[in-house]
Amino acid sequence: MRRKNAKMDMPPSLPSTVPLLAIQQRGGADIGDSVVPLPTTATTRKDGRKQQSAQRKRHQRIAALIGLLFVLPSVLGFLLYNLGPILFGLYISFTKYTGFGSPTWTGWYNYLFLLHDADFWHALLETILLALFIVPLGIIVPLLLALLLNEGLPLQGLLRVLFFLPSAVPWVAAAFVFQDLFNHYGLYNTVLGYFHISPQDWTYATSSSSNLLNPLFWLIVILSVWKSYGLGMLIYLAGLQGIPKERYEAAMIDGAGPWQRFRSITLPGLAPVTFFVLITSFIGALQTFTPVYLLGQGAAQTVNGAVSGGGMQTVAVYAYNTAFQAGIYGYGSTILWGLFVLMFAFTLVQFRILQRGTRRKEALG
Amino acid sequence: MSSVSVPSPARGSGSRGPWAWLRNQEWLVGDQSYRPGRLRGAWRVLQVLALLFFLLISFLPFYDMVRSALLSTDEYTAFHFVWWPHVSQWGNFQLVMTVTDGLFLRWWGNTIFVAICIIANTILVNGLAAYAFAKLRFPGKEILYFIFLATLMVPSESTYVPIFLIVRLFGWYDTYMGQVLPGLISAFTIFLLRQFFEGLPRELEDAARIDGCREMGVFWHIVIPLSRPILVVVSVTSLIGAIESFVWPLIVTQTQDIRPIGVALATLQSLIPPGGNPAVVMAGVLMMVLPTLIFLLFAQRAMVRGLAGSLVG
Repeated sequence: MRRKNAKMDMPPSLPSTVPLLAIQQRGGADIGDSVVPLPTTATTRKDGRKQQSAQRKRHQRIAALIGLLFVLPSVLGFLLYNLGPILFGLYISFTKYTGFGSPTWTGWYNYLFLLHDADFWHALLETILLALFIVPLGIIVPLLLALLLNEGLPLQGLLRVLFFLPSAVPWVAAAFVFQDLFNHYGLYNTVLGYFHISPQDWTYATSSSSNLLNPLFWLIVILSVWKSYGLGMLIYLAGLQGIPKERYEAAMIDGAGPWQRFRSITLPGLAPVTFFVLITSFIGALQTFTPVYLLGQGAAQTVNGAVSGGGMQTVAVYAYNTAFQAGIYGYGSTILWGLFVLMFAFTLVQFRILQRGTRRKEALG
Repeated sequence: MSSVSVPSPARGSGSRGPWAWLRNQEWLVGDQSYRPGRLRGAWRVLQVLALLFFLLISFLPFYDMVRSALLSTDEYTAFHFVWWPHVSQWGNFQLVMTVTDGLFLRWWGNTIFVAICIIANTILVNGLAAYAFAKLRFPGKEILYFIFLATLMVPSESTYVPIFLIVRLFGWYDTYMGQVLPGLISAFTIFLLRQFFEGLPRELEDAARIDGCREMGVFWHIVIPLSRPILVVVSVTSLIGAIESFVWPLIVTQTQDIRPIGVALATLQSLIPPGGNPAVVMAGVLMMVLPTLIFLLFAQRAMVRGLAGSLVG
């Protein structure tokens, strides 16, 4: 592996004009060395303190300028397309803005409206329920697959690639395919028919106000898990291979059975990986947009300025409809910021729980 | 108390060959030198069944994709499931091109064009910034880096509305610029590149500097060529991201001929003339998925080779 930032010893072929002291002090040739050859005004080696000539200071200033220059284009783009929009979105969420004219400041009105918005809470419930099912499955299934494919099976490498393929299918394509699989005369219902179970059409959601767990919900859960277990499997495989084998050997010497080994070595060894997968899949699940947009819209329409979803809406879809279909940019921004705040709070809580857990372990151990 | 023994391979090919996993039934260790537990064959059978089950789940949608793409109109709208078309309608793929007025290839071209823009920008702008963060010293470096990283926590969805307004302000609505721009400055890319650059040995840069290279020279002639593995990874990820991109192009484009493949495909259904074959949609889906899969298979090999090569040096 490459070495990181190794402090450089004296290079053998140094030009005589470069003072040795300067290089020793900084542990390596620095940017100042390339700009102008250093003058021979070095102090004696017995002098411990650095004495920089005015020229050296100028070189350092040029060095700093070059650094800033390199960073400048990305900083500009960053201000314009990363930081700027974040702040601008925050600002807009406090306004009423229809895209024409200028935004009118309304203070907390949007957020108060958000708190009472039935559609938002409905969409939020759908989103959280989605996440509630997608995340555990998105942890268990990849873990299972990684365990299965870490045993030295024949064709193991091929199998790993094969299981990764679903993740490579874009969301749009996958949504259409699943719609095809699960519709009234699709494969799934046909197979159910062989077991004499009556067919259900999974692609149309029942009325959104009555039944939250409608068939389309489960379709999207299955679709999301199907699409994400490939990547999760790879991550877990990497994590599994990171657990030192000596632990297993020690456990076997001590007489631990397979299930015990799994519980006390494999699972704790995978804790950081699991945490990562948990957080990322949760954040991802909360932002589910594409399958819901493509399959769950039904007859979404704008009625009296409020956007009503047909069938099924997640928060992201609701925000999209509000902002880009109904043209209510201010409130759309509010919705998205509300979601972000909730996500952020939840991530903080997860971190706190984890910290308390490790602190307790350290205190006990 | 189970004893730990390391069996010699003298027993014959059974303990070494491809079927060794069947005989040496250890569990969850992956190292073939330990004794089996209590449940012997049953466990292996269970594992095989589980694998087959997941294989089935993984590939059923692919089968359905191919099957549906080849159906005729009658078979598609029939009131029963057709396992495989009686006569495969290979003409459906041509139909996709006709239905979209030949725009299908153009949609692919749009996608690749956007990806190339992002990749070029990654190397030039993001790479330069990552290099500065990794190797150079300038005032405000730590604060700036921290701000960059902090924005990673905000989901991109939250920024779609304001970015859209900004893009519209510049007159870039419904243009290639509008599509490409939000993906350009990626704090994650800068982070990744910086981590990689920090791992590059200082001796090479110092040697270049002593030989008279200025900073730009060091960047171009030393750092970039050495960074091939990470650049390959970033490029592949960018291309896949461009193929998958849906929400942002949906927001920012309107005319069909600059849309990338994801968004455009979603409109395919509305382009079918009445009485046309609805299977055309699935044919279009297949035409989108197949190149992506093939590309990914090759890209995976290239990435692994690139990463492995970097470990040697």
